[in-house]
Amino acid sequence: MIKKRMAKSLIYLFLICLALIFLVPVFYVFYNSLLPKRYIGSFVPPSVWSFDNYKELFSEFPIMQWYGNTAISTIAVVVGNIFFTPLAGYALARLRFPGRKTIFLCLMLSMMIPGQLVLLPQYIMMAKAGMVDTLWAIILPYLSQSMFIFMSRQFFYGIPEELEEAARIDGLGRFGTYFRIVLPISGVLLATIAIFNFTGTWNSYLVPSTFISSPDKYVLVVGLQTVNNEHFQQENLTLAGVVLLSFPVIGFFMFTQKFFVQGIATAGLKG
Amino acid sequence: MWCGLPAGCVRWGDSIYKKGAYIKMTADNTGGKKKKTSKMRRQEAVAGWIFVLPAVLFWLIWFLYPALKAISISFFQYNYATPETNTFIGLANYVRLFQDPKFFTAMGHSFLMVAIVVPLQTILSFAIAVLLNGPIRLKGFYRSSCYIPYVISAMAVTIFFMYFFVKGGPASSFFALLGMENVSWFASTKYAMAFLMIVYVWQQVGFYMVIFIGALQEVPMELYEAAKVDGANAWQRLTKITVPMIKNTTYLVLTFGMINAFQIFDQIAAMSKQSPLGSPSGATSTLVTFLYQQSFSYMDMGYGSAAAVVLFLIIFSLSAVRETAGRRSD
Amino acid sequence: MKKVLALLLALLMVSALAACGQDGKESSTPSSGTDNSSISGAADESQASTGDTVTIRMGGWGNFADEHEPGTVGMEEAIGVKVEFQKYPTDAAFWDNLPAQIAAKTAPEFIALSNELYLPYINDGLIIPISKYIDDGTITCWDSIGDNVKDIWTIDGEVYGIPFYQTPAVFAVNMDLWNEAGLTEADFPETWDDVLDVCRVFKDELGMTGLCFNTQEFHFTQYCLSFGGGWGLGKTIDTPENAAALQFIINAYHQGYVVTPKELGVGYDGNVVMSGDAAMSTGGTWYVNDFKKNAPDVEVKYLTIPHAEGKDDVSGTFHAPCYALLKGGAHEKEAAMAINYMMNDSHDEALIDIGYIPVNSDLFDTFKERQPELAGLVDAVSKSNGFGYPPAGKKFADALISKMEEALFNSDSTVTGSQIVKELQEEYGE
Repeated sequence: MIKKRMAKSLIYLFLICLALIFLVPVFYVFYNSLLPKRYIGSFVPPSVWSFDNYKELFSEFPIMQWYGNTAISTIAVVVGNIFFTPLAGYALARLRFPGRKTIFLCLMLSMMIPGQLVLLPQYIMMAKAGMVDTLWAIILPYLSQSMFIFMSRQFFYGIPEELEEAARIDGLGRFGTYFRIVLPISGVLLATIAIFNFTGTWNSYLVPSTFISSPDKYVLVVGLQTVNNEHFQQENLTLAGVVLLSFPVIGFFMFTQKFFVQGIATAGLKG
Repeated sequence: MWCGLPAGCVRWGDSIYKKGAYIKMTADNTGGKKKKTSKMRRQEAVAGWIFVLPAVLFWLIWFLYPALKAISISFFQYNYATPETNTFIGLANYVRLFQDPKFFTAMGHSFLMVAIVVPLQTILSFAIAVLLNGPIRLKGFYRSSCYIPYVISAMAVTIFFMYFFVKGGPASSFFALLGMENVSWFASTKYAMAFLMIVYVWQQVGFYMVIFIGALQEVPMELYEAAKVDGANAWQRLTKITVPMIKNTTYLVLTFGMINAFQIFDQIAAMSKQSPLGSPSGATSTLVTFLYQQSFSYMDMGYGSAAAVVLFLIIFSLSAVRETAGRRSD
Repeated sequence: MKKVLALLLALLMVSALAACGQDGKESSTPSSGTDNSSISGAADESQASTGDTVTIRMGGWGNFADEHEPGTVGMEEAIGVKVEFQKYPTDAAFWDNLPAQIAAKTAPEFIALSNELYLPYINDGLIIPISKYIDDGTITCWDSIGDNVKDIWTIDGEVYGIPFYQTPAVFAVNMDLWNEAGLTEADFPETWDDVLDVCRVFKDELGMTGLCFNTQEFHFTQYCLSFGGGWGLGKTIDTPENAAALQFIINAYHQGYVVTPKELGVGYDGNVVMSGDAAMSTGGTWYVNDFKKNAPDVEVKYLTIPHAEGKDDVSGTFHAPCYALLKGGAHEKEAAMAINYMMNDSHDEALIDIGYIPVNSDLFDTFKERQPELAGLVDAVSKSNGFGYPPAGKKFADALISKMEEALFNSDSTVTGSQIVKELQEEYGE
């Protein structure tokens, strides 16, 4: 009994250390974002701390508009991926049709080619279509990302087939089975896709900085790069910007991570 | 929405969910208890195509065309802005690559990165996932704190790690006790790569942890109970049940891990700040920073594209090797 | 039937995609973008031909509100040209995408261009000569500009840009630390040896590094020029002066007199002087603005760049950024008109306020009056030089930085200044 308790406290001690390793740097950034530029990286008394960096960001830059653009493009991309990628992943895992392997291989290829390579040809296409410098440019090409198709396919391999069989015996067709039976038990998958895709899109820099060039259409990451002067950096504003950038994503994760557990529980698959 | 295709066609794949049996999952659903009629097959094929159609369309428009264009550029002396001077030079860009010592340095760094980072992050994230899947209070809190680094932009993560690994900073002082030089790791040609790996693993572990947790929850509890009855201890349960049961996920984590580690870019850009990519002195240059510099900073699109094609071929052949090795072990 | 329906839906999606491609301009942003129609190049053209006002775009990065916007006040009424700013997040974001933007005809008509790594862009034809608009009288301000600034932007007899301010490099001193170390204004360094002496004082008195050296091409060039060297557009890389300058940095660094922003994890030397990690640095007049805002209580003195012993007549570089025409613009003439308009007095005065010296010598006295602490720099302008980077531009700068990083940040390195300049000459020399 004592031995067990010891082991347990050791585990908790380890977990707390682990949490600290991950959290301390985050708090340290927040602390630094409260400091005037000249004190960044040093320890100073609370009397020097202030929200001035945040105030300056909000008063001198259209932060809310950048937030809005980021939110619109991110949500659109996430919704697209949640819809399209499990659909394809399901077919690739479960349905037999000619060309299945070829399609999977092709989709995988797009994960393997460095994104920087296709960026400029995409830009030229986009410009011909008149989409450059609109939010469409950072939404449309990213609505179905191969990474999540791959993830979905792996996920659906692990789902028992009995349920689907039962559904079809009950008279549901393939689409019915997918939307009524398979999707509802795929909460984990959808939450995972949502979180990863939200994070990736929210923080992406290279793509929006290539496709968008008017400040009123910037996403937050790109906009925050403009706080720097031509000849010098404003580290204090950058740090405050990083906090503003990060906290919606952290919030989104806190919100979605519940579904990891619930998705399984509601499906009645546990145990 | 689209429900209600002609009903009644039951399809039998190999059941992956047999009680008591250790589950075997193959990449293909082959075999079956009932012969399918040709009508059923046709229906299945149509449904399959409709399911993948959107993804395929996106792929054709937004990936295939730009990628082919980019690959063709690698055979040219190419500048977008001056189409009149673009000339076809065959394999000259590739020949030049294989005579460029900087390219080989970059390739070496990329391989080193993958060789160290992928096993490290896989083991760490698996261990944390197992721990956090157990009967622990405040699971959500621990999970969130591990995942938080991943949601923060790589640029930001790198910036704050730099405060820790600055000369005399907490981390570099700690490692100095272990006999290393007390220098700013990110500005030292010797330690910069190690710094990069630490930042990268720290950030990625949460991502793979989430994937592993998802998989661990799929493992049926009764397997563990049965094993317990048979007298298997915790370690045996881990290695005999958990590891084989989540093989598919491990495959996913390794594949993603490799592809992502080859394509690491943001952290290097943040580390380099105003200096050239791969700073200090090319100590953190990788294939991606190399191709980026050549195609963009130096406006040598053809040369950069050639490097990108080589990188793609490397990732592709490693994936293929992994795929066949994985099949054989089944 | 339902299968058909599903197929139809899929087809609809395809056509929706295609439609987005076709009508992107009209359907435009899902966001509440205010005036999106005039942004994209093609839409812009049609608008221009119908109305009286021609809208053109100016590209650049950095501080538009202080540096460019004051120049455009009243322009639309005066010359019927409206300038919209296409602001890029960083200079890298601009240059990296420019070729594709020119190909796609989405690039701005003209840009603000620094006189540093511009040669490759001119040689590749991305920047087009502006001479014909000087000859035809569209641009009238050219003659009032000082000769050494003119020279920078005249290449092979063609003028490539109209410079709009000039600012010599400075040697900034944090006076709080200076006084703390027991130094006075009489100790201000004139030569690099003086700087080393002062560094010794800082090391002994305060146990700190006296000099900040930022490992960027801008700062390397200050040292090389003030040692009597310089790159000479690639003709004079391998010279004893350049070798001595780089060796000076290497030695001072290994003696513990120098700290680099890189090691501190910051990108900019001003931060190091501001936070008090070093007392002196090569820098620019942009310090004035930065310190005024971020550390008003830190006193900074701006000296001219020190020189090597016996090289009294040399100084560092000066910046003289210009407005330049980009290839492929639809309204070249209007862009030239806009540039000419932007060279107005109220723009000059706005630039004076942020510490930049106007190109028009008539305003020198106004500058001295409004920026007393920088007044001494006006005389340094005539002694200052362009950067003179070789035609390889950024490639050369990256190689220089990499080689010096090896010499500074690899504790086992035995690389010397003369080795570095020799290698650079071989690779990038003319």
